[in-house]
Amino acid sequence: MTSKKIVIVGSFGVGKTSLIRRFVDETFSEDYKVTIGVHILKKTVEIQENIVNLIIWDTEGTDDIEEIRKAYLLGTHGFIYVTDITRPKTYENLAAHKIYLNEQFGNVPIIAVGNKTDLLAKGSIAQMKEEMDFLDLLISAKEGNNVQRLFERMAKMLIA
Amino acid sequence: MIPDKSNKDFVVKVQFIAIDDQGRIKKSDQNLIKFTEGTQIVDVHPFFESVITFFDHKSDHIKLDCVNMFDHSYDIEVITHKDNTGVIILRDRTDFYDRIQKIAQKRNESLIFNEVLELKNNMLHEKEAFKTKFIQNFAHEVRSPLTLISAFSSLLLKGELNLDQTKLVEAVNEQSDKLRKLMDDIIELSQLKKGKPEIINTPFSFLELIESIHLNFSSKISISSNVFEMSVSPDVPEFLIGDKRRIEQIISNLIENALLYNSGNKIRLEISENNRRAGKSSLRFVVHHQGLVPEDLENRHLVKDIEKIEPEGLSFSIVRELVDLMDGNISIKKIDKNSTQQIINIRVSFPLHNVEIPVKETKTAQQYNFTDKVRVLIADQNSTTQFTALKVLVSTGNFDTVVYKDPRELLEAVEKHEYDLILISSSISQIDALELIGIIKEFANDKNKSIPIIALTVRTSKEDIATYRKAGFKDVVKKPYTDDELLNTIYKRLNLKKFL
Repeated sequence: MTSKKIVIVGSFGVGKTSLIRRFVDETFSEDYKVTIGVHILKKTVEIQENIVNLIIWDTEGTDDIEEIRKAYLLGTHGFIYVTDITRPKTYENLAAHKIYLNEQFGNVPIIAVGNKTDLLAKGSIAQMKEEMDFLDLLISAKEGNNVQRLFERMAKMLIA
Repeated sequence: MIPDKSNKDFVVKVQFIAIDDQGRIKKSDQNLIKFTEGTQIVDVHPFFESVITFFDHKSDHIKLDCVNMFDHSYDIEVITHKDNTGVIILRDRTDFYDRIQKIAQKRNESLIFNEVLELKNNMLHEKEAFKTKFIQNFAHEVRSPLTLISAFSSLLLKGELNLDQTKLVEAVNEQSDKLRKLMDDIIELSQLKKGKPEIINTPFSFLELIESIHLNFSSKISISSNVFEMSVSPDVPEFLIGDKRRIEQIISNLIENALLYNSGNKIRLEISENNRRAGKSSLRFVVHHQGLVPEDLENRHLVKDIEKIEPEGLSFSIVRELVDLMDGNISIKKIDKNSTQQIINIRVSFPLHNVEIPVKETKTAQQYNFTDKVRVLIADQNSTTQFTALKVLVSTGNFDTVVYKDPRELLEAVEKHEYDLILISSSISQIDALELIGIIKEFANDKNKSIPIIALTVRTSKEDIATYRKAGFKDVVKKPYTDDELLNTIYKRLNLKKFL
């Protein structure tokens, strides 16, 4: 059994905490509570007969990735960059932030996701997916869409 | 200074945990979290699973602020030694971070709210811009065939037709006029909603205006066996300084509404003056009729979205915007269950001294028989409007016309041949008329450089006309135009003596 540290980053209010709660506890709350500092949760997944402990670090939201306390990022195996598809400000610096993470952490995998697909009009997700091709996955922490797939994809990348 | 121990900020509880070289809890003072000595630290909380990776046979000192565990917030120090042992120090700063959390909560909620508000605002602007663009494009497309219908039916009516034919063409002419008015209303309302109103204040005879309105509506209303009565209070100023066309539009709309919903046999217009202050007269217009207007007509001005305005309310919405521009108000009163009053108050300047009223231009074009034909070059790629202009000019027998729709051929023509007049449509082959005139002025021979150039366009706002004039156009003819409008403009801009 191996343990892998995954850090969730992104602007405030994009749903990082909701994403982790959906994945770990299978719960969702409409209430928005600002995260200060870091919360750490754990979930074990089985990928291709490998048992992987995912240690998930839920960081406080920031517009500038360089503002995240460096100590939080020590020993990170993978990043999940969360954006809110309804707020362009949350993904306008994605490319620059990915470059920064690559420079600081080498080949650590980064998965960029667009959260809150539940706010899109029915039938418009496919179009949104085309428009937001810079994101790896569109998810909904509220409805749970693609949440499991996201962490499994990350786990696969980490054990590969 | 000795800190006040009653203040919780200064009482930070600390816990020291010694870790052995196998990652087990060797010793803990248990001040904050109860640890069982000898157990693996990684089993206490997932946080320590990451922390244990710091123990890598090296001396290090790592600080992690605000780590949330067991409903508390800790500042944590991890001290590692080369023998792979170490110490973890926890400082409980829950009170402090709770306060920070409350501040951040307010700040972030406010930032997100503003962000969403800005997005919604941008979306509304985009929607509005799309709508305006759509209306402009639609208007542009419709104006070309409409120009042809208006001009040709007007031309036909001047020819020799039998009674049946005259009636048919008159009907076509009347309907195309209605369509023109509807187009103008749609564009006008979109301009007014965009906040680009154009109120032109010039002196005019108010009494003449209301006499003309009386004359027009008397004959129109008498067709339906109704009577139109008008009373004008003697204190109403004879002259006003205002937008004559807009004031006429307001009064006419009230009467047309009355005509539309009238179930009796009389429509009455009363004009009076409320007061005069600061060089302005507050005028009151009341239109009485039998029957009721739709209940929501008065409130249609509240509808901000053009899409929601029904066609019959379009003119009324324009009137509402115009009345607003004239510091006025509008109301509809039910007098009893079968009679209605529409009331409008507006404030208009009046001249303090005698005024000179500009002489009115005649609408029907003067008939001329030129001895020399006017050589006209028409630059237009739209076959409908091209044909219209051509037909209108040829019908007078006074013009020799040549049409170009390729800008290269056009430039060659103005370089090699001599003309007396150039008519240019909004754009040909993607080249805008404003660009085209610049190129013509550059390439034309000396004779052609001094001849009048007239624009035939849908862009006829005050700013647009100023731009065309600045670019070198002598005049602008608004599409759709009638034969008389086109000919009047041409005759005005030509040196007629040369051809008579």
